Formats: sequence, structure tokens, C-alpha cells
Amino acid sequence: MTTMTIKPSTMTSESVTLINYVEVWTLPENDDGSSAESLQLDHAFVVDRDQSRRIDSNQKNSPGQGIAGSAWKQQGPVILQGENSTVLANVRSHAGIPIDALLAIPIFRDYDLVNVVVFGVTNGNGGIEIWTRDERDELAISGSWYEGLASFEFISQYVRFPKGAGVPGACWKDGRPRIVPRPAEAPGFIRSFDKDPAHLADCIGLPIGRDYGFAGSIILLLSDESKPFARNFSLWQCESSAPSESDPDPTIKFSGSSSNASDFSPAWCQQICDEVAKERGTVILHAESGNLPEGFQFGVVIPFFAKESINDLAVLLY
Amino acid sequence: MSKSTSNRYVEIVNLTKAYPNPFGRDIEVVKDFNMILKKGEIVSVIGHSGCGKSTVLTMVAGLNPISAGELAVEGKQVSGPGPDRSVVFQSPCLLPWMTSLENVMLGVKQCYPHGSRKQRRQICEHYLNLVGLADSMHKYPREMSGGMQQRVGIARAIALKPQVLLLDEPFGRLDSLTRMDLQDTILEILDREKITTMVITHDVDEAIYMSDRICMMTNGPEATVGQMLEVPFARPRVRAEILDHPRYYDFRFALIAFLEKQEHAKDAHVKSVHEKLRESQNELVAAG
Repeated sequence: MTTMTIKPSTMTSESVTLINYVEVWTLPENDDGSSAESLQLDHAFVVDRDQSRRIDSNQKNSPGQGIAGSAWKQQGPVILQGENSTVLANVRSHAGIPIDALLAIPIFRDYDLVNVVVFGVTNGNGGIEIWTRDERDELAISGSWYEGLASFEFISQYVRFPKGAGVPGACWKDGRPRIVPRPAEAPGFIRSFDKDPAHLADCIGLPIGRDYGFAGSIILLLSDESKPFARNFSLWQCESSAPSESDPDPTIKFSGSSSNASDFSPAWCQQICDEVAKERGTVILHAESGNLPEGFQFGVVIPFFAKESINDLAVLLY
Repeated sequence: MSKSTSNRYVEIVNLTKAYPNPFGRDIEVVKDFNMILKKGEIVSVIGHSGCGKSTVLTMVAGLNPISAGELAVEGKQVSGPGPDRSVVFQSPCLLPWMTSLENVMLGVKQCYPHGSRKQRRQICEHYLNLVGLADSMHKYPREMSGGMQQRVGIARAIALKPQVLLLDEPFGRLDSLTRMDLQDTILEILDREKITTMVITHDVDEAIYMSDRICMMTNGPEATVGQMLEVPFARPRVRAEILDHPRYYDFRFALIAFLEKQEHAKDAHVKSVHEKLRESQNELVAAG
């Protein structure tokens, strides 16, 4: 994992993005190649308006412990919210900022857990939904957080998506993440939020599963025009091969991105792909190590695996 | 297709209907339509005119061969029409030279060939009575209103004791009072008989009032399920209570917003086709 060298700065009161806290947990490998028995917190960041800062990350979680451990134990994404959550209170106190909800995203390489990425959100309109397959082979909401979307929240609990239907069903069908810009105008986004004060700018669908072709659950991130999830969020498509005896270190070739990344040079995108290929897991980017475009302070690159190959990267820059 | 349970009573998996196109590849009017119905459930299918709702229904009825996908009722593949699935169309299609009792008897004779004449007659009378036609059993279609004729059509369908009842806009030709009356009649029967039912309708209020779930279909070609909506109102339903429910209009809004979005998508599609045609025309003119 790339090391982080951004120095702590004075904390400001408000983030310009809906995600104001990021943790990246890793499941280390033992010397014999087996997985360790606890997740290691490698990186924790607070996203501030002026300068994001790194905070102490010397923690471990066993399965079921903390939100990262819960995602590991459940083998799927987890949302935590509410004043009574001790885990949320601990993270708030550790980060020193208000956090309304936490989302833990487990990243699997084939059947193995590689990372758990935890996002904290606060103080802005938007939504996070976890859609899970039910007994009718439809996706139903199994966890959610909303702000400024009361009407949308109400109706969403009664909505179901078969494979291929709506954004969650489309992610399930092709097993790949996707961005739907301007959901109000997009034919693929079929739930209505017109009665709500939030004005959705982007809908991002992320399939989460332990096996290629079966998305155990779909995460939907809904961001408001006034507060995006990240200062830049893009999905990149890659061409990569699975590691083999003849090629233990496969390369990842950048092959295009969503429109949000059109300003970045293909050379830089390829450089990031090379870092992900080397890491075979989530990569943290930071300004001082020179692997970020100007104006950004840090970034998270989350790989989406199809068995052992990486087909897509979700890139969040702050 | 998985093993049938009461939770997967009717299974529609990747159902596709394609028609041959002499100018290119087949036109898929319905594509990858997926829906699972529980036993005794009432599911409405709504969507714009021509989107393929009735095509889906006729495929489930076995009246229209499927091009791809799978279709099963209680775990058995559907390969054609059968007495396990009854259909009520918008027009009752009664035989004009037969009384209402004789019209109902036609199907009953086929389904109960070993029953006595008396038993078959009792079945017909029972179901005509259920639809409120106890006094009109010996009337001919010409002697009955449209609503009464449709009641005969419903009695004829239910008297077969189908596992699945398929209603294709059954109230489409009726005035609103008769329509409401007939909706209540059907709901009363379905609550009693627990028949798994698919209703095709244009009417969002009808869909909410009658259904446990509503399937919203996208516009064709390649029409499919846009989303499913669970209707949480308990049964038996009382119309006034449903209309007064504080959340009734949230469901209504969700359905109308979906249909409006489909309409906009259709307009945009038509516009893009026109633009492409204009471009081709200009290219032809430029080429002389």
C-alpha cells in the first residue's frame, strides 16, 4: 500500500464533499500466504475544506468488530447511522468531526477479502442505498441513509428491481460499476425524487460480490448538486489479465473513463493503473508523493475484480 | 428455473418476444422480462399503450409463443394454453346465441368432463351468483349491458378454477361507476378464492387499489420491467380507506412520475430518429 505523507493541518468546520471521512482497511497475508485474523487500518483521512488531513490509523478489527469487521463478517456492505451507535460514536471521536453515517464497502478479489473501505458522510443532501437480492431474485433495499430525500426514501422501501432493471439491476446484470449523471433526465434512473428538496447530480452504482457474475449486493450513491461525494469521482475501465505462473505480475491497461475524468491525461491514468496492478488492492494517492493532479490533496482508487482480473476502478479525488 | 414454491408460483425469466423483420434483425418488442409471482398474489402491469403489456399476458396465457426465456406455473413449463390459466379480455367475447349460463357452461364442460350435468350447472350458477348475475342467468348478451357482459366473462374465467387468472384491461370499456363496482366484485372473489392474478391496466388508481405489487413496464421496443412496487395496504381493501390513506398519493405520484419519464424517453427517441432521418436525407441530397 502506498504510504501517506500529508501533514496534519488545522481542522476546518465543513467539508465541500458529502464524504468527509475515509478509512482503508487491509487484510494482510501471513508469511505462509494465508489471511491474517484481523483487519489492519492502513489509512484514515478527514476531508476538510482547506486541507485534508491524515489521522492516526493504528487499529485492528477482527470479524464482526467495528464497521469494517462487520462488513468482513457479513461479506457485504454495511451502513451505520443513529445516535445510539457506539461504533459511529467511536469513529466520530477518533476523527474529531461530526459524521451522520458510515458506509463500509468490502472489496473482494475472487472469493478473498482484500480491503474494506469505510466512508463517513455528513451535513449535506444525498443518499446511500444497499440493494440485496431477495427470494424472488429481485433487489430490495437492505440498508440506507438519506438526507433531503424524504419522499424518495419512503417510496424506495417498496421498490424492487429485477436483474437488468433500473441502475441497481443494470449493475447486477453486467457486474460492473456505473455512473448515471443527472438522474432526473436519465432514462435508466426510474425512481422519482421530484418532490424532494435534494437535486441529485450523480447516481453511482457499485456491485459488491465474492464471485464474478454474482453481485451479492449493489451500493447506490446519490449525490446532490451542491455537495458531491468527492471533488472528482470517475469510473475507469481497464483491460487486465489474471496472474498466472508465466505472468505473476499482470499489467492493467487503462481503456477509458466516465466523463468526470476526461480532464486527466491518459498517461496519468495509466500510471495509476500500474500502481493498482502492483498493489492488487485499494490504492491511496496523495499530493506530496506526486501521484495526484494539481489541486487535489488525496485520493482513493478502489478496484473491482472479476475473479482475479481488474476490470474497473472507482477513483475518488479530494 | 428453480424448484417451485408458493413464493415462486409463477416464474417468468428473461421472457422475450421477437417478430421477424424483413429489413434487418428481428424486432424484440419485449426483452428479458423477469417477474416472480407468489401464490394468491395480485400483480398489475402498467405501462404506455403499445409497450408490450398484453404481449406479456398472452405469452403467459400460452396464446402467443415465446421467442426466448422461460415461463413456468407451479414449476411446470408453459408451452401453450391450458385450463390452469384463464384470461379475461377487454371485450367479453360472449357467444351471442347463448345465454350467460350457457356461455359459462362452455368452459366448465371442458374442465369437468366427469362431473354430472347437475354438478356442472351448480358450478356455473355459483360463479354467476358470485359476480352478481343470479337474476340474469338466462339472458342473452344482447339483453345485458357491457358491465353485465363483462361479469359473465369473469364468471366464465373463474369457473374453470384456474391457478392463474389473467385480466387484460378488463374494465377498459366500462364507465367509471361500473368499473369500480366490478373491481370490488373481482377483489372479493380473489380474496376468497386466492387465485394468483395478473392484471393489465392503464389506470394507476386501479393498479394501486387492486394489487399487491405493480410492475412498471418500460416503453418498447425491448420493453421490460422498469421496476416493481410493493403495495403495502392490507386485504380485504376498502376503497374509501385506501383513498384516505396518508401515503396513497405517494404511491400514485411514483407511478405517474415513472410513466411521465417513459413518455419523455419516448419523445427523445422519436426526436433522435427524426434527426437521423433528416441527416440521411441531407447526405443523399448532397450526394446528388
